[in-house]
Amino acid sequence: MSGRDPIFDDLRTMYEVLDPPPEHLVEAMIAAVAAEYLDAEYELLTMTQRTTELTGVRGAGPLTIEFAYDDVTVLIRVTDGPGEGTRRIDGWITPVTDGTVRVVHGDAETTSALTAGRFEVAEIPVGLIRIWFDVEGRDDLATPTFEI
Amino acid sequence: MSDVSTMNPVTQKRSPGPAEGDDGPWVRAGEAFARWRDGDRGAIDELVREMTPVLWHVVRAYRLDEDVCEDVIQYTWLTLVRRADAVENPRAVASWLIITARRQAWRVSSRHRREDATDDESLAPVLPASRAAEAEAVEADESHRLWAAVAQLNERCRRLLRIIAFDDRPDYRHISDDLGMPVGSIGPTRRRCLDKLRAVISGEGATA
Repeated sequence: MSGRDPIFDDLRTMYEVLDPPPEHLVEAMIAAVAAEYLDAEYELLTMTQRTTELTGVRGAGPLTIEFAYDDVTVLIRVTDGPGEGTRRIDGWITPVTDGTVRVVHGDAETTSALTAGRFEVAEIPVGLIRIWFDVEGRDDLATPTFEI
Repeated sequence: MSDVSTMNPVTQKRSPGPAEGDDGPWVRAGEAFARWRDGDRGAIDELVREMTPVLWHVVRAYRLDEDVCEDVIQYTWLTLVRRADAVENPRAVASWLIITARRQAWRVSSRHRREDATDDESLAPVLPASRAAEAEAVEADESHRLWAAVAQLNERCRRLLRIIAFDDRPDYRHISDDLGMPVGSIGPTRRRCLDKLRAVISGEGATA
């Protein structure tokens, strides 16, 4: 492109070499797009924070993930489930509300009641999940796909 | 005269030869998106392959953790497929994606400005073992030197330079919104950042 300093090409190469995207990223995005329910009307929550308390070892300790949309905040705590290769999810949504929560994992889904802003799923396989919220008084909400 | 000559309308279409210069990926992205909107379901995969690495670098400029970057990029793709009609000009889809990702990255980073956010200076660049080829080693060596120079710039410079490096058609109006800088100051800031970077590279700005 005319007028562009060639040093930008060097910078580009530098970032490509030293801070490349994770190897799984492209395939993960293709999968996320393919799994999107184009007919569903909902608002998309955004991940604002994800922390593993035992740093560096994914799934080894409680994991907290926070999502937000507009004035809504969803906090999810992931711990080891009762069975091998399973997780337990505890979640809180504010403003406090009632409704239904669906956790979609692979082709299966688990439904849980949302009571006074709280929900729990006692056992769910590890892997990629997506959570849908059908709450009173507002549009449906959904998280993006994320890993537990 | 033979009718055969008219059966080869070479001028009808531009040569589909190898993409040239910076326009390559942008044009390919626009074409893939246009085909997807016209019903070619597989074309979205091409678009995702083309643009996801670019989005990664743009979003990483906001010093977000890997997981959060990934989420911002996913947000960008889901927003595109859900609101495809919002893209007025399919040929400009690459710019639309970059602006959407940058805006979201800005939103997320200002919501959670964490003390332990990824720090460019302390982010020790580690090369994958597979990149052992000599040419790549040389390239990596040059990149390490440049990385060290960039690390001496302030955060605003680093972010601006990384964004522009991966945005073939940077839009200063949108960048000014996302970086919280007046639009008129982006050109001069860009120049100052480059001057500083050159000074560091040539040793003038180095302390050692």
